[in-house]
Amino acid sequence: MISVTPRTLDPKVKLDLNNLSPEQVALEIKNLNLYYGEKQALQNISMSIPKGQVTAFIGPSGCGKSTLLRCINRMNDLVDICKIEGEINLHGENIYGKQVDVAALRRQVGMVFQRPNPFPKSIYENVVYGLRIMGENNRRVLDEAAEKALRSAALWNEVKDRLHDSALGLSGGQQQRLVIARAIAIKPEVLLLDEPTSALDPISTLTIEELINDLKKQFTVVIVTHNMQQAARVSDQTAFMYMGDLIEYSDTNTLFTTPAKKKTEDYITGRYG
Amino acid sequence: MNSWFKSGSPWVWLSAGGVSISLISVLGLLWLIASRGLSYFWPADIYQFETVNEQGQAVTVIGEIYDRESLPTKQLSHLNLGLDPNKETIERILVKTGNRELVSLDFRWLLIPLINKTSKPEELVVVERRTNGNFYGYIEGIILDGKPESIEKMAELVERVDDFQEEMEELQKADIGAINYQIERLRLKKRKHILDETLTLEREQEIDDEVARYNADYQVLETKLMAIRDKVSRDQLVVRAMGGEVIEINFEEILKVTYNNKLSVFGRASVFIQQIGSFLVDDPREANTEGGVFPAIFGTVLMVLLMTVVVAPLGVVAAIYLHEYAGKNALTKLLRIAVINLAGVPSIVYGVFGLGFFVYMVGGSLDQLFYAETLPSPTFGTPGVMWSALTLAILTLPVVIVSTEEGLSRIPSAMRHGSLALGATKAETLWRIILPIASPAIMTGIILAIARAAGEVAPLMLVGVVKMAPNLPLDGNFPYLHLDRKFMHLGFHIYDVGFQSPNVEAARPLVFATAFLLVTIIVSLNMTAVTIRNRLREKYRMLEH
Repeated sequence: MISVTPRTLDPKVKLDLNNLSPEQVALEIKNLNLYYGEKQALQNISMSIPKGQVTAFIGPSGCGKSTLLRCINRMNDLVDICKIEGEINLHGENIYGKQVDVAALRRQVGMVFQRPNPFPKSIYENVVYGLRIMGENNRRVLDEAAEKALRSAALWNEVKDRLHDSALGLSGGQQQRLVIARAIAIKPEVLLLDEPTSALDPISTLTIEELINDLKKQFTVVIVTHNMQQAARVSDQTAFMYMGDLIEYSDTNTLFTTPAKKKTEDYITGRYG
Repeated sequence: MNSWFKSGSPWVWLSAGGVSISLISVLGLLWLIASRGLSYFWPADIYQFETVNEQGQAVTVIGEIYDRESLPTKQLSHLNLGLDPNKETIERILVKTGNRELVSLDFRWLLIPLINKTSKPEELVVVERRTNGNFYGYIEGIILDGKPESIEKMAELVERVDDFQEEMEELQKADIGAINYQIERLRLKKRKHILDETLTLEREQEIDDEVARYNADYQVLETKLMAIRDKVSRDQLVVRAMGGEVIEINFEEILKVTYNNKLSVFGRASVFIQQIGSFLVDDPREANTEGGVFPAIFGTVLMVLLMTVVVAPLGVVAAIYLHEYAGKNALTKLLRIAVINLAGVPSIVYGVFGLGFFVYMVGGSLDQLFYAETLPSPTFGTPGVMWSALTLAILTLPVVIVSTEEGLSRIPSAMRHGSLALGATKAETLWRIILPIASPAIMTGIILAIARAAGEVAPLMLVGVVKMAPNLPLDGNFPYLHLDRKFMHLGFHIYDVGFQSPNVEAARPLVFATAFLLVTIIVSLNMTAVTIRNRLREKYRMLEH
């Protein structure tokens, strides 16, 4: 496994997204086309996602933002009729290359889904699941990793006394943070969040958003959200997608205050979507 | 009226009616077999009837009332019995008189109008015997070592004989059985050496010595057995039957002597419980029409367990392949339909298949490869408990496959995705997440399989069930579990007792009792599985789907 590189980028410094140096890039998407059977769902997407920052994908329903996110850890492989062209490079290597071990890739690129999906096991077993898969069975190592992950996911204080109770007894917001803890316990480099708060109440949403802010200190975060305020609150970069096209991609402030494209402006001012 | 139809109440009534009818028929069935079966164990009153026979002579009949029916007087008019011709019907009773050594039939019909006197003398006893069925009559005395003895000693004697009988059985079955088993094993060993042409003088000597040693042991046991047999056969019970004949019954024959008419309700209840107990733990006697059904219980349960051990992993693995790995194409669909249709094949067809494939092909080949020394007498090339279990496993395989697949398809894809996104491979996800969550569904399949298999008789008649198995498939001789042996089965036992026995009338209550027992066993096997399933459900419960 590749260890997490400490964050070196200063968030205050505005990045030139079209001209990132290789060290600044976490993921590079190149001419990506995706087809569901005959239908093309993503059209020639190219973008670079910077390291140690939060990048948000926004856009109306069906614009392809979740599809794009799922390409990054190859979850689309599970869809039989899905066909992908183009490249996504992680450490300069195409994740769609022939030699790539998908399981290893998914350990480097973790993912959290729209609805909390804890396994019907104890809280503890949920968090250490990924580590057990990797063959770690040392009790001490697992205990430490579980505590660290739960602390990082701001859940430790709520569950430390009932680690061995069923995870299904937690509230929705707690479950979602548990799922985040589960994802970061195996120390991925990139964390993909697919509308992580859409099934949650406002207070849980706030907790998760605060959590995302902390997470970017350790991970590169890519988040899909249908909530523009949320994108504005948590992200450093925002990409606006429409009908499978990447319309505009720039730092969040610019995109929300002075959008370059008409479609972006229409969307963020609520004309459609 | 119209609005009543619209309100939907007729449908509620209709469906509730359907439920009631189903419930009533199930409960009625259980009640019927339970009451008929259990009444067999309740000690009945013994009556003494004074009546006249066909020749007009006065006779005494002693026995239990077994059945009662009324028939038209006309039907009997030719017999000139002096019956009242104005009465349309007359009643008659069926009396179980026992005493097989004196009369050829166990039962006798008595016409109620011809009975002059009915009484229930307290001194009447029923003597339950190992052979010849029950004896009804009066006790005249006891002969102990050739000398008369007081009747008070009887209970003691019966108990003493019981102990001796137990000891003899232990000797015969366990000790002598083990010696015979070892001698047979040595004989086969020698034969194998002869077949392999590896029999040296030294080896032959060794084997012969061992056989001689076992024979010596056998002699010792034989003497011991004879000594006990002498002890039990020297005491007699003197009884007087209904015709006044006095006969002596050897105590070795006697199982139990009960004064049924003297017994209080509690006394009867205790006899009732004892009878049920011995029904459960004893071996059958008298061509299965008397005694217990223990070997059949044992055979049924063992066969079902063996079947479960085979069908569960096989069915689960097949379901996993069909659901998780097989391509979603026409061939898979065809396979699935074929599997479902297998459940509809008549069970006797599976029996024929089991006989042809398992017994003759597989068993025959096994014999040639590994048991050549016993040929021409087959070891596995003949029906046996293993082939029965395998045949029923194939018969119940579709049930397990279908319900496992259903369980697999009910698992939300979020579970799979969650695991895959953490870097688990498909196999790891299956093993750690999917199978545990699907385990209640797998248990459901196993429950259905057990229910189906435990009640199945037809195929077993071809692949391993017998009327009377001399040995249980499990005993103290290595390798303890003898899968090649034939076995007894409750379902077949019911058929055999009810329809193949020499004394169908006497065996009828036994049929009900055995049927009730079979239902009880299946229900308890099911309840065990249901309990396990509910535990699993609780453990892997999901909040929402």
